[in-house]
Amino acid sequence: MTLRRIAAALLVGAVLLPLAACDTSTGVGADIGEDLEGGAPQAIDLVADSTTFGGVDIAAPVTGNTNPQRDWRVLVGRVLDPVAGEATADAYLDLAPARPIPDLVQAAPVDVLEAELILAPQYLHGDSTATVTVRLFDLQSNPDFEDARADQTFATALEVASYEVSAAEDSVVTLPLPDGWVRDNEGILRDTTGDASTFDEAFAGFKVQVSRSSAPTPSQPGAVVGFSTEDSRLELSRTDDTTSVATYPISQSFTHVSWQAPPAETEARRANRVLLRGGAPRALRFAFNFEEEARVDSLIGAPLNRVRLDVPFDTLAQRGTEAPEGFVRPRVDGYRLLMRRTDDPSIPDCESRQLGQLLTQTPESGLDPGDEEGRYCFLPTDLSELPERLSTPVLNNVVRESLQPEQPVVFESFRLEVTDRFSPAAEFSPAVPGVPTTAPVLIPIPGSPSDAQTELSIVATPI
Amino acid sequence: MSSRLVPRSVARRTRIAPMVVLLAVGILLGGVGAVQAQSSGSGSIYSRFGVGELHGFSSSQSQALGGGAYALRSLNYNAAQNPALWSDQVYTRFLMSGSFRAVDVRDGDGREGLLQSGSLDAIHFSFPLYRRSLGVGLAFQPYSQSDFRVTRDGSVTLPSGTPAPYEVEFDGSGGLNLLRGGLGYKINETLRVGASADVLFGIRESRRTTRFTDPQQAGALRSAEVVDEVQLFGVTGTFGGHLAFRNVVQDEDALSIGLSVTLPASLSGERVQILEDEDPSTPNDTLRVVDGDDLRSDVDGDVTLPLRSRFGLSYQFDQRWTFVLDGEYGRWSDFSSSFDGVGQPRPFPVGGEASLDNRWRVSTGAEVVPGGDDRLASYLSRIAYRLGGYLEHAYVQPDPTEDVRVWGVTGGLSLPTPAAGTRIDLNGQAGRRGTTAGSLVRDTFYRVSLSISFGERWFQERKLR
Repeated sequence: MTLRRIAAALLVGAVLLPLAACDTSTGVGADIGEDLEGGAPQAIDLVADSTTFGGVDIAAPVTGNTNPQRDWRVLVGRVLDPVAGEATADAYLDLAPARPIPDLVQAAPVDVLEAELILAPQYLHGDSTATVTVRLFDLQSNPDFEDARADQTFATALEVASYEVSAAEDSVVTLPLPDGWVRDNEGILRDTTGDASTFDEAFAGFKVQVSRSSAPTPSQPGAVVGFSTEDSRLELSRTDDTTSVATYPISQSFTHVSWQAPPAETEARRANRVLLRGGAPRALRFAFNFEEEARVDSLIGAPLNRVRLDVPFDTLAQRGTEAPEGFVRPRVDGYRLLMRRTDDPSIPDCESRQLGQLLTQTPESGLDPGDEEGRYCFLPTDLSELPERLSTPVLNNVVRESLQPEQPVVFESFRLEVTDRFSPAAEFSPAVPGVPTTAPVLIPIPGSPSDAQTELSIVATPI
Repeated sequence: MSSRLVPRSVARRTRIAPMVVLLAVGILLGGVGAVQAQSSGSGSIYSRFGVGELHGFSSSQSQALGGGAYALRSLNYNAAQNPALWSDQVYTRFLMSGSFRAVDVRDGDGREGLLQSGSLDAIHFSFPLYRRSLGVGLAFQPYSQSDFRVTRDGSVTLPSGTPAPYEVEFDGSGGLNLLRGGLGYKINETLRVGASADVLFGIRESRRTTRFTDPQQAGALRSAEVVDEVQLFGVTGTFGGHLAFRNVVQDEDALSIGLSVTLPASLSGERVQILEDEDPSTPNDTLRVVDGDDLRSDVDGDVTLPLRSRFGLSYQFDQRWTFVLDGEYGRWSDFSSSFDGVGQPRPFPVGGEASLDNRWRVSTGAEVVPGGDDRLASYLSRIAYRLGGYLEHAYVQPDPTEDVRVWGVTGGLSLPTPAAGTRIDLNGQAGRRGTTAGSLVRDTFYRVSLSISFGERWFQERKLR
């Protein structure tokens, strides 16, 4: 029995022996014989090819929204931005039926009814002291703003009224509708069936158009103001009892944006830079001479420690002093960065695991003429360093695939579009359109006298 | 006194059961040992070269006598390195041995590191077919082990101009295992012969990990790990002979001569390099290496291990004193490998065939059992006290201008147990390997080993005495 106990104890000890390994890690012996090779990371930065770096025409950004639950905005106004040029924005709003309609409103004589379009300011581009003259139109027919792009327009019917709107963002804007408009529409406004289709057929919506009568000047640059569609609405109430209000929320909206050429006076500011403007059908395209870069050869097949694409923005050049005091230029809070896949059958699809299951551009999110579906992959972006820099840290898989022996480079070029986000860090995938904006950015052309370059930096450990 | 009749078959099962359990545990430990061989990485940097640090465990008795004892017959041990000794068996025997070792490494610049690890030395199983005439032996033990870890620090300047300190860790693990099985046969009282089939197999891994050490950067800069894995398999054979002479100098003494030769082994295998990604969502990449005009994820190749010969003398003065003198020679300059680095990042073995040299080893030892074979002697007198030493010219020569020599002293106690044929051996070893000249390092190593050798009579009718 004693022997068995001893044997059992020894067996346990024997089992534990292999587990009793520990060490003080040491560099002693690293130089013996053939040096312990490799393992030293290399960092290379590939600056974007300046010869192909530039603007490219794309489909105008989507500025229509048919999801009333989503934070959205509409823009209206006219601004002469000293750097970016003149932007004109018109807002389109469609309403949903009021639920419920208070009895006092329902029973009120039409001549005591009043209607007001309440607009909640949220955005300003331009002179904060300016007054924007807007004209309110009924739309001619029931519109569909789904996937409507910034260069689209929708036909209007009669002008309802015109207003002077302050660009100051400190209070809501109230546009009282004429009594005649109330009389003409009181039937549908007080329709208690609650049938949205009936309401839609009877009420096409509004266009809030900035007056074209007076162009902005450098001294009076005007303004584009933005309103939250979630907080804006039409209110129907009684003049003799303001406690009873029927509220008609915004059901869908759209913003038309157009741009004029930037002023010649600030051309020097834009020299060696590419100008991107929110709402404009233009993006930045850039590429890297990946295959011609000799330094890349040493990284073929190498494990990647980090790959990062940086696009800098010249915020200093954007600030300038030409604008009068009080000129406000909004900060861009979002971008869309897309990678154009090389046209080669061996290149994995965007959604493949090799490329990190990237989203791909669909017709709904806007294909450029001549671009087949699936050619562009959306790259999630790191917006934490905005407004100076945009980065994407998710390129490891893309570059790793590009560095396989005898494999073509996965990406042919990149495309950067200006968007805007209310919640840059978490809101939506990069494939979702940003909210309408007229914010401009300047991006230095590689090789120009600027410290910041658009570059792909790779840290890899050669085999 | 009461007695109870127990059927003979039941009695035999009762005795056999513990051995079966131990055998099962041994097999389990064999698995553990194989796993352990893949994961330690805490031994000598010299194991980075060749096929790793060679292991030549023969028996726990041999281990304490300098590592040889190729001519020493013992009913308590069945030395695995000479199959001829398997002919002399009375007991069915199971041996398991494990050890713990510490290596103090020092280089010429005075830098020092301490590495410690535990490992399984061997599992042996043997039994007589004909008592003291024909026996079977089985052994599973490491043939070689790669077991090192070295780190190197550095810094890389990121494109932003920020320095990023990093650490590169090189570690090796795994090695070749030996599964040996064979027979020993007594031709006459003087000559015994034996032969075994030796299966060599294993995976040797060299792992290189680059990790960034600044906690602020470690999140954005991922570690890079490259594993170079060589899998080998092959079969060879070992032949042994043993000559015994009695009454050479005086009555009851014995002089034995042992010889064994392991034939060259041709191992075939494949080499694969793997990029291990720390991101669990990304599958590991198998590197594609150029093999001729093809891009392949693995490369087939062959490795030829050289002939190894062992020679031993033992002299048993009487029942108390035993002396051994042994030598081993391996013509490692004949080693060849087709994993020569063509289209591959680096050759296998590291440094190529030129980094290997012929190996020789001499060892000697003495054993005394004060009580001889007197079973009534005191316990301390029945303990076997052993002392030995060895000198070795290592088969790896990382620096062509410097030989790597190893010397060590060994010793041990063999503790008898109430069960005849079962002993517990506690061995120790200390020695030095290499030199601090040039770029080499000097290992000062210490090893403590524990072996249990169970011997029971199986398949034999008990006789009333």
